[in-house]
Amino acid sequence: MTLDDLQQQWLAQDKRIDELVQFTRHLRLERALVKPRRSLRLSQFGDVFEGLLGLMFLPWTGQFLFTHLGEPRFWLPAAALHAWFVAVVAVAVARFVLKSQVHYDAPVLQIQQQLTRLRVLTLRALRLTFATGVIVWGAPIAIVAARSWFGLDLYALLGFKAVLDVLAVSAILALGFLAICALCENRLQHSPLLQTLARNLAEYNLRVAEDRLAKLAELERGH
Amino acid sequence: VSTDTDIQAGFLALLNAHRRLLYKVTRAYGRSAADRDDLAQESIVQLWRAYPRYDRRFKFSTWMYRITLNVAISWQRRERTQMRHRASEGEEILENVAVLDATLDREDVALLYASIERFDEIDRALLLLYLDGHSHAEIADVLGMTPTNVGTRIGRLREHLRKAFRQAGHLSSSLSQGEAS
Repeated sequence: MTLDDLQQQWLAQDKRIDELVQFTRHLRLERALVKPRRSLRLSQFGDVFEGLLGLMFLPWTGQFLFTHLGEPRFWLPAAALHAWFVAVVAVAVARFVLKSQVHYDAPVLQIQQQLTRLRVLTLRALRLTFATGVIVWGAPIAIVAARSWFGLDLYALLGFKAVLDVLAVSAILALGFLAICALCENRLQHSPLLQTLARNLAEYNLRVAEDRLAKLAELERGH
Repeated sequence: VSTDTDIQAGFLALLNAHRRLLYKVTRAYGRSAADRDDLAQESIVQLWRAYPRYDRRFKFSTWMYRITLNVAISWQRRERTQMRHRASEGEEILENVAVLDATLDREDVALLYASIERFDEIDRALLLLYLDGHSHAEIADVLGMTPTNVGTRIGRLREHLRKAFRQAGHLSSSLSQGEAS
């Protein structure tokens, strides 16, 4: 069989499809068409929520930074925390904007590249915010919160070494978790959800997305 | 001035007029009847969402192909990398499409789709458009390639299929000879 034979057989199924497929349930279809249209407007809700959550913390860390400019032991953890929240907000805004630009009626290669770029951004951001998040949500947030809300100096209370130890443990935990994810990227078949999480954090899915982006660009250029 | 009812009626009429296209794309990208139901539902939702932007100076089929192929390719990739998520909204509306599979999925039709399932998502889209009799320029317009690139890729697909069919034929004749002896 050749491609032309295949085409003849392909076109022969048209009559049967015409006879059998009909979107006859108009009333039900109409009802369903209106509802998803509304719910689709909420599809970017996650990004808005993430952005707003980050924005809520920024004035707090910004104010703290400003009032402790001359004290590096407070200024440094606050700067790390502030940078982390800025990154979270920036990623949420970038994702929201990229999603808004996706219109499925554009050419296939263009849309697939847009969606893959969005995926690459999401996966890079996830890995970065997770690894740094484990660190900044440990000692730095405790130092800033204790000082800001209770006027306590954790360095004086626990000792400088203990604070450094917590930081080191957080860093080891973050790196350890990423290493475990890398070990599990081809395992956990029994749990697709865990496997996806491991692959997202272990760069497996990022590599797949980057390869796809390169292939799509090649296709568009005509290679 | 068009009312919402007129717009919906117009959309449904166009959807019915191009039902072959929707069926073929969902059949080519969805593995099971349930997959095809999800895919058809998602395609219709995206078509409806994009409908206000549809420019009537252009062919509806080209516009519909772009959306359904984009939805199908994205859906397939998502299904491959994430937990399967079943859309419950409006499933029953599309039972026609799922029920159809049983009627249409005769051996020859199944083989037909099996022939195109060997290709990656973009080549599959290209093949679908080619088999439906679209010109290189039309295919290029839907996919976002140059017509020359489309011609080159169709040539490669033709060769790939010829080899695959030859191997399959060779295999089946060897098997039947083996059974006879």
